[in-house]
Amino acid sequence: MSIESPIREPLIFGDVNLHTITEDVCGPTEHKPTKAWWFGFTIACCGFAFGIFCFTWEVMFGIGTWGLNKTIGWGFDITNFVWWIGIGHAGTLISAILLLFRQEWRNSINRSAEAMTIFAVMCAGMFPIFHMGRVWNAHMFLPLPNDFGPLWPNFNSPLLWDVFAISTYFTVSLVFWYTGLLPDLASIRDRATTKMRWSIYNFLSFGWTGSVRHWNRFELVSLILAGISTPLVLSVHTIVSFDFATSVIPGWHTTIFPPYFVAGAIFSGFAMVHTLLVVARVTMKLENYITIGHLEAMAKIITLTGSMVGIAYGTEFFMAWYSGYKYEQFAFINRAFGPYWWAYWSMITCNVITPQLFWFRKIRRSPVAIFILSIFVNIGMWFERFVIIVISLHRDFLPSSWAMYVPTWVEAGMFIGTIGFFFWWFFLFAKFFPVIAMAEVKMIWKKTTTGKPAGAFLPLQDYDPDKAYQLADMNNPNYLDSAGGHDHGHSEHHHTEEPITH
Amino acid sequence: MLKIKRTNCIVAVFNDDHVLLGALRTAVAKGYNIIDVFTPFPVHGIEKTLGIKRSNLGIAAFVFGCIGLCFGLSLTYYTMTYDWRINIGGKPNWPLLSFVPVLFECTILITALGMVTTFYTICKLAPGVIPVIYDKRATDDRFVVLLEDDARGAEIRMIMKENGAEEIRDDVHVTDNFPGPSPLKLR
Repeated sequence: MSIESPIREPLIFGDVNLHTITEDVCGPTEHKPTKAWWFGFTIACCGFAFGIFCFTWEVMFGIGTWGLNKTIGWGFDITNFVWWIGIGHAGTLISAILLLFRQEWRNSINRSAEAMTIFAVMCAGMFPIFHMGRVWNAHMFLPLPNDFGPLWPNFNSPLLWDVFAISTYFTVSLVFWYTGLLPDLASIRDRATTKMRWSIYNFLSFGWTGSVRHWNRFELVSLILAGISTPLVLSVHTIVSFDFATSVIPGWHTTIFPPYFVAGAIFSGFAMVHTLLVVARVTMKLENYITIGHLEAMAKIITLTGSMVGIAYGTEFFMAWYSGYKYEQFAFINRAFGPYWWAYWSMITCNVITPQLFWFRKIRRSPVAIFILSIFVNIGMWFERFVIIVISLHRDFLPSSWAMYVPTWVEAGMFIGTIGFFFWWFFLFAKFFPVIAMAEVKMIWKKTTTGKPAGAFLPLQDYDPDKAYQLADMNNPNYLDSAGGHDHGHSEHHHTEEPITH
Repeated sequence: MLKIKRTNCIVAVFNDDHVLLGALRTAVAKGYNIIDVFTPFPVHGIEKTLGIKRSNLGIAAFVFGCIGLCFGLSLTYYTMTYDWRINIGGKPNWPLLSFVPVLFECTILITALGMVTTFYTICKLAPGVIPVIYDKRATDDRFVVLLEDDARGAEIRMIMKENGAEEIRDDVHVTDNFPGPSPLKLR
């Protein structure tokens, strides 16, 4: 067993043991939902219902109900699509890339972040489908034999690559997430007190028992899925950026788009994870597992990716000037000082300036500040896509066709509808599924709480990262022994590598 | 209907993973037959102690990856090059480079689906499978060892107790896991 440095912040706080982890995570699925849950769920349902109305309206009366025109063919719909897909990137980053980097703080947040990914990708997928107008022909996205003779989709087109990328991303994320859920669903099954509940969770948990042979394969499957999801998550937003970058529109025709979009996606995804978890950890009483340290770690990633996005904005401007291509130069001047200047400067403020506040530890560790800043990032990243799509289109090569774009209530309603849809799913998930990967948290429980300054079992509010070093008790036998163990009913026996023989 | 049948197995329950590992090492050294171990989280070292080899799922993943790549290649070749050539501005009819994203996604998709299906199949995990559960706490906070109750049964029980087992009992096989009383109470 390995022991962490005592000055490293514990990942789990409070008087926690293996059983309390099960209690705390399974508890919310076993009790009646709280008032706060009903309140949130009702609002989400209203948004979702309004969305269904607007989607239906659009299908009945066509794309003419949107504010698009001849010049601006992509507006709210593609902006929302890219925004949602971007949000969907944090979950797989947390579950796959951070697994490969052995970042154990991911264990408390990967389940909910990945659920969020799946719901966000579902929201994203709706926009291109409904943008077709004739949604009943949506299957023509796919390379299926069809009624029009042997006519196939064009595999040279980035829009078709998108279909493959997003459907693969959704499927692989779902499989990864669900496979990880099996042990925890089995925990809920084994605690069931009614036949009905047992049957449902037994069906969902696929008959998981926790056998050593299953765990052995399970860990390998997780590792390989993480290995293949890592290039996948990078490929998805790369391919989304190709939708723009392979065109010749000034402002779109940019070679830095793939890394720039991937960084932006991770940026907005983590912001959404912040928004959800800052609230969920308090309302679901999970502060001991999703600690301030977890929020801080995510804030650091937000600062990093936000700065990368900031550099990308600068690079675009520089390249426009350096290329000597006057249409490109005009496109960027028009972005910052044209009629949509307010969108551009909202984007700069929310994406480049405000996340820099996370350099201050006080702000990085304050849930209220994190919540506010994460909302700023969500707004900023929405504006980023609006800026790229609408501002680049509205003044193109031919001044006589310059136009402005104003969304209609149908488009706004569809966006609200997907937000409602997203939260509708998230509330159901939080009620019926374990929101924390219990098995993974149990795995790090002993390691993260042993030999820590004030010992494990530290109440969260008593932890001060600045004083951790002074408090670290280097003479603590538990720490030096590298054997692990405190007297809380566990690990009285020291573990040695040699086989024990009697 | 609850059917209870005694099997010739011993169930030993531990409350700590390191104690469990020590006991398993002893049991293996003494040559007892350990049928299975059930833990709430993967405890590293058990598989080594029991001599369980690393799974070959990696090979399965590679094979499925190759199948996925071939599928992508044949799909793009058949549709764009063989079945219906479309002249798009005089561009080549077999533009391999612009197929790369689709080939990549096909490879990943088939790898993931194939490997996970293989995993479910060899572990016999599927919706509706009714598992045999020896102790319901094995998915909570206990570590459960299933040993064969052979001629040395009494010795096995003693050694397990000496090595820190919290509880030792004969296994009863319960065909209906719910809602009957747990095997614990029926022993």
